[in-house]
Amino acid sequence: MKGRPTWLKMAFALGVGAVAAIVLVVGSQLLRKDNGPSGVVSSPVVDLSGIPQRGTVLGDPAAKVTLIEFADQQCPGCRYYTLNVFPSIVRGYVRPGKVKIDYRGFPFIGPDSVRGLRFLLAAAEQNRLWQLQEALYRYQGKENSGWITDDLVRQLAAKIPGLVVTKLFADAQSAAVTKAAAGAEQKSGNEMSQFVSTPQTPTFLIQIDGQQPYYVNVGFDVGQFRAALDDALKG
Amino acid sequence: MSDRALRAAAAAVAFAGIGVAGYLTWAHYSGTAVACVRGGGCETVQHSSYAEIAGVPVALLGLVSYSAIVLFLAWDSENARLGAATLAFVGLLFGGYLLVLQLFVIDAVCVWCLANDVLIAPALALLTGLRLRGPSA
Repeated sequence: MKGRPTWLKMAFALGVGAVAAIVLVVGSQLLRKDNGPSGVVSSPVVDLSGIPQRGTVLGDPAAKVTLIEFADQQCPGCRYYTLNVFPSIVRGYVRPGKVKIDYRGFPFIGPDSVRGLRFLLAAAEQNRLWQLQEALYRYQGKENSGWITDDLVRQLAAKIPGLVVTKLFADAQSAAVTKAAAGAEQKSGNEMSQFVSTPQTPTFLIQIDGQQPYYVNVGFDVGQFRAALDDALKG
Repeated sequence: MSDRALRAAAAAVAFAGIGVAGYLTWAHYSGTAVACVRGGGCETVQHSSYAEIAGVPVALLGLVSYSAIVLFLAWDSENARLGAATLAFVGLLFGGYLLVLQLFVIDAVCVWCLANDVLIAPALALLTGLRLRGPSA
């Protein structure tokens, strides 16, 4: 390009840059990390059998420390947390009775989120919320694609010991569960707003002995979770 | 502003970009939680499906681009300046696209990504200015 005027070279560079940006944008859409069905994990990643469960709470009711989790069944970060961090917390803190975990639905992504929460709250009626949420994360589909189908829930629920599938579906349609799921985004959002400027999922709070909870920014790092829980257990 | 000062300013911005992109790349591969402002959406953005293209973290693309800009600045030929400005232009366009994704698709904003957007705009201005001047004698 030697000898060509500067403006011509600049125009050429602008064109090349624009094309490169378009390639990146298209690549980002077509080749993005797939958090969808291809990432299905067919077996449970954590053993919850024998751990006390009451409603939305997993763990010994007398545990001094409560880890409060705000989650959305469609949230990829929640899935990552559940498959990669949650098992370590269960093994190290919940099963030994040190910590209990309270699930708070924040179904902000879309209709599938609310639908998923309805089934979770219905499972909570049978003290099986935690098994169903773990199973749903393993089969998480693309956001708002209608992936939480009756068939999928029936298939997953049938593998959860002690969960009566017919009751699960009946409870998911009940007025109380429908109302709770529909109002969960506002309720959890208001609750999270006391601690974070932008409610999102997953968000974690720690509560010690029923005192005022506090926000913990622990990301998805098991070490940071352990440090936060160890601090709370000392406190 | 002297040519030397322009280059120094562009290099400073590029090194800042390397710092931001390098930190996000490190956090990505180490699995460490990204330090975020209170209630920020850094983790949500970092773990969204848009955080990688064909398995390559977007942060790594930024790190490579800023590093290339520094190398172009060190080379300092007419074509190197054009290459650096072109890279910054691509970065600005792609950064804008990522910002739209954060605001309207992912529903979470990462301050580190915003920092990148803040850096790439002056980088483009400085590098374009350098290119229009031509290489130093």
